[in-house]
Amino acid sequence: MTRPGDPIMKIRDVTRTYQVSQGLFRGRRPLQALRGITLDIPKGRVLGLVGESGCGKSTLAQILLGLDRPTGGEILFEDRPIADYGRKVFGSRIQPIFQDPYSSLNPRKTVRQLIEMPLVVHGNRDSADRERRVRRMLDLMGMPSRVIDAYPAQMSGGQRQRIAIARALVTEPDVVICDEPTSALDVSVQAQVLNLLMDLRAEFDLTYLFISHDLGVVEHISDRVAVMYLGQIVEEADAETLFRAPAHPYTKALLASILVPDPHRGPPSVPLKAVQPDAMNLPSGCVFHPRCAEAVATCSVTAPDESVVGDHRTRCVVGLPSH
Amino acid sequence: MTNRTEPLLTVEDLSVSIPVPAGILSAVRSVSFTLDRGETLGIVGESGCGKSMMSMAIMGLLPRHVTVRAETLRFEGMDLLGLPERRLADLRGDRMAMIFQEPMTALNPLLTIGEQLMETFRRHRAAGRREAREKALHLLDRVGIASAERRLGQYPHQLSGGLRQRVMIAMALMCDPDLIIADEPTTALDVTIQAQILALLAELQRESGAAMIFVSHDLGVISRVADKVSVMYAGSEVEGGSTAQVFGTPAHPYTQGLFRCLPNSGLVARGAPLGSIPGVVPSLIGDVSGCMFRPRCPLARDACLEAVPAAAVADGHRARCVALADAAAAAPLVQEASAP
Repeated sequence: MTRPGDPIMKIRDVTRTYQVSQGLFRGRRPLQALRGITLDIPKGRVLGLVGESGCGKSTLAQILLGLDRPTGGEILFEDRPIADYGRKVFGSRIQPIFQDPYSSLNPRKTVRQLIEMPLVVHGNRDSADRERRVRRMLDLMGMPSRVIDAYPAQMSGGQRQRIAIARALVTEPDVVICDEPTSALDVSVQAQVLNLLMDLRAEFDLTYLFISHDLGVVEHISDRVAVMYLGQIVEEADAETLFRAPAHPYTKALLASILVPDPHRGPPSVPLKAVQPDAMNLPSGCVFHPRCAEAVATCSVTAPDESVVGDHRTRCVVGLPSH
Repeated sequence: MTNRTEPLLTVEDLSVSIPVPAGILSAVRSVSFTLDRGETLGIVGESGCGKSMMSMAIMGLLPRHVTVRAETLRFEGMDLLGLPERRLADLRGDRMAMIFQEPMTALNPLLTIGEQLMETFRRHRAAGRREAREKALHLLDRVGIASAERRLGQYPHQLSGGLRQRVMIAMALMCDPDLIIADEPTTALDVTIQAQILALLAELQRESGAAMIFVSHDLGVISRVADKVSVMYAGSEVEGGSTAQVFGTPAHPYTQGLFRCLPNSGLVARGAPLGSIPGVVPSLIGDVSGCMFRPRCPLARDACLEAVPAAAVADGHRARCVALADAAAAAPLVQEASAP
């Protein structure tokens, strides 16, 4: 058994390269979506994963869920390669919650069918037991059991996301991959769903990988945070440290972009050059240097190694301050 | 010619209703505000509160079966509701322009960036190609798009989301409009790009002196761009005032509830449960009398069933709530919010 705080999943130098078609008469070109990701997901904790669209965070989620295979590297679940687990066994222990509860729920299925589907897939043939589990899930989600025969179309966005959460938790997984779980929701509904996710985490000792572009939400919910840029982890630290003393210039730019309500300040100035990153055509040296406000001459030549102080690591020549 | 003393835009008692199979949906009810040149009004609220309907109504963009009523809807001295469609079309894109949330759907995928930018200008200004092209190049440069010459010949799909939104902004500015309506203009963008676009919008507005209506669900965004704010719930304004007033001393229970839901408002410690507003948004079909927030309101009382007029909280700060007489009701949050 993995103890709380120890890694339940270990991601080791994972790469994923897609061959992208350039058009009918042109050849394919490689797109390196993940370029050597090494990351531990600590048991019973919330690991936040942030980065802009196209940085590879959803590709990583797909690979962790077994929906896509890495080109290189290895993923260990409780110290065994995930390939060693049968697909079904592994699938019941790691479950997803996706962004859009409007498209992730089949509109032709009732709430009962939606929530019990993972149980059926994993071979539970006892319909009375399945019904008991579905009702218990609805109860946990704070939903009346009369919705059991309703269809998603009859529900609000927040209710649908609760169904999606119930479906993810009904197999009693260890790890839940939350990919932008509240991004499609209104502020007041987001608060309800975040509170629910936190309660469930504590009650069932769940481990979350919480992927979001909303740094306010990530700061609120996460114990540790990893920042991705163009297929690499550029910084990782406990949430307190990362938000108080960010080391990587990209993390600093992200934090500067957070818009805390403040009527006495205008839009922030973000220390970031307006160059568009292109994953098909990576810059030389440090891939962040064309946008970096702190870049020095060597940055366009040499890709920086990772520097580590305690459990804070970053990938930048400026390096880490000693804590 | 606009009267010097008259606001650029006067909206009085604006209502929008939509016939649906189940009856009449009252999407916007009795909204009033004025807007001067150079001023930004932020309209904030959750999905279905009517904020987009309202901006579409002002632009005259709602389909014919939708009923738009107003005591007054005046823009530059013209009664917008009385104008024939042809005159309205002349105003749109020229004197008032709109920036939409999703530039990929708002831009025409079959036309180059250059063609789309120049089209508006040439239509409204009867200008030649060369003049339009020069204006387009100038604006692309102004919104921070490098190698503008090359961009003119590109199609929308060849641009990133951030660049497309910059193009949308350039397009809105082609005819130097007096009023810009921006409906969630940064919602689909990455946070760093969002901050850059907001700074750009603020700067361009300062330069041009245009008025802006900025519609967003994001309280943080609204607080940074707006001079005054209107908080909408279920089709009507529940609270309005200067941005400092509404964000500094929110008076309506709904506004207060929204602030407590925010993970980064400083009101809730990291990891602690967020405040939440119980219940769901009511249906706007049929009976919409009384305060629509009452089923979810911690301060609800019998008087909430009656129509609630807007009451003054302070000079220019108003809220529609019968509990406002209860000064104590607003006090706790005010103190917390003023803490750093």
